[in-house]
Amino acid sequence: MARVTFPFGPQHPVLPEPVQLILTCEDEKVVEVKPRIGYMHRGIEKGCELNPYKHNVFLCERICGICSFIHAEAYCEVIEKAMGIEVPPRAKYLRVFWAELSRMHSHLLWLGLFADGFGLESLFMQCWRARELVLDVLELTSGHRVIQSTCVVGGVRKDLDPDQIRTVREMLKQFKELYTPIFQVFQHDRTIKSRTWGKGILPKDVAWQLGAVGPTIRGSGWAFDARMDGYAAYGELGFEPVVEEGCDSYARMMVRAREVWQSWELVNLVLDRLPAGEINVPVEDNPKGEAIHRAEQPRGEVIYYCRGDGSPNLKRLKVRTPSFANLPTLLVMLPGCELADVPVITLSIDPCIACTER
Amino acid sequence: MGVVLRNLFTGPVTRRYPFERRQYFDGSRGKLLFHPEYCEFCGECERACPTGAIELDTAWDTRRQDYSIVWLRRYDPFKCIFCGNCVEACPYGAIELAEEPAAPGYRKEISVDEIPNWQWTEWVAS
Ligand code: SF4
Ligand code: SF4
Repeated sequence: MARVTFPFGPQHPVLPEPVQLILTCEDEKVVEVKPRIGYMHRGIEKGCELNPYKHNVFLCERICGICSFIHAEAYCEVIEKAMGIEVPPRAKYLRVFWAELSRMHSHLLWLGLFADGFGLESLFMQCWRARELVLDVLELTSGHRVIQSTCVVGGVRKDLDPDQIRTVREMLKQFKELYTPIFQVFQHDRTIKSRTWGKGILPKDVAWQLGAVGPTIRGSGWAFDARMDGYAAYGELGFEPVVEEGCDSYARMMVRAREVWQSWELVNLVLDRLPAGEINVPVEDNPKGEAIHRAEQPRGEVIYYCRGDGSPNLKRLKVRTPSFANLPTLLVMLPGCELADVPVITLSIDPCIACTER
Repeated sequence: MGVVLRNLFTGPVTRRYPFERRQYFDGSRGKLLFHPEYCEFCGECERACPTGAIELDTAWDTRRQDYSIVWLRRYDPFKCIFCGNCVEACPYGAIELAEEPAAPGYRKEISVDEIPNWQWTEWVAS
């Protein structure tokens, strides 16, 4: 059988962002795959060394447009660790509030794109319609739909007033009505199962060896989630990760679909238990020493490392993003699959190239 | 079937954009408004801005003959990320974030505002 090698991407209708997969096929079967990255390098880590550290929050937020709040949160927490700042409890809860809303909108965006990937256009529209409501909540509470800019070193910048809390609760109820039928379609629809069930297998032990993170590893049966560390207010909220045992695209999809419910519950819980008090503490001096922080993004675990020497500029900021850890799993998932399944399997790890290359 | 009938008789879900505008929420971060009459040229906004979109500068006043200076504030809306830091930093309330977003621009124009220079005028008079 003749082998054909050809590029898949960087511009491809199913890929929201540029990554190239060099596929080698025998007939319709993929036998080899080589991912190539490097189309979106923006030099953000270097940029962070040139700015005063307080201004970096806004730059880190722009590493990724979808998980922007969690990037800002992780950056603030790593600086707070380095400087030994204790954040007020209300700020911790508000951070969870915005982080979980970001997760909801990111997962809904991905579920929509996934539905689009296997050709269910109207499901794509329905997912994004539900997402619009989450974006409205974000705009109502933070002032912006996607880039919240509400996190600062030492706490948060915006507070929720009782009126807003009432409106948000109302909107969350509407969201439940919208999302319930969508969730059932993802759970039970035969078409979706035929495109995802048993496709892109990532065995449990291989997932661990390759260092996969986030829904990719949780879809392979590992309860592995940075939120279990209890950073911000997760420790007090009692957090249990969502795990699926299927190891295939369907399992990864269900992890995300169920995590939307989990985030919905966490947001409601935050509104119930929001403690009173200050929302930030003044920060005067400069970071000295080094610190490392893990946070859970919609795509998996992000690691921030910073080193400062007492000047306003950081000496080094290093970000390890989740998609970078998840890309190697494609080398296991793709060989042996049909060519027509490549887009769906590639999407199932939710590749975020803007994060990967920063 | 029920869904089909329901969708047949309900209106569209989307907004008919040019005729129906979206209502902005209170506190949305839209465009930046500047009121030069309140500004004291203290420089807090320039220091707080993470992108360097605001620059304060002085220049000779070419309209007059007595070597007076004018205070200028240059604001580049294409650098601005509408974070609202300058609004929080300004002690005199001279900057404000409006709720509606800025209109798209045809050219990359930097807006230059002249700030009334009352200190200089008083100093010359005394
Ligand atoms: S809104 Fe932010 S970016 Fe824009 S001028 Fe003010 S401080 Fe600078
Ligand atoms: S706008 Fe406000 S912060 Fe900026 S120079 Fe004028 S008074 Fe100072």
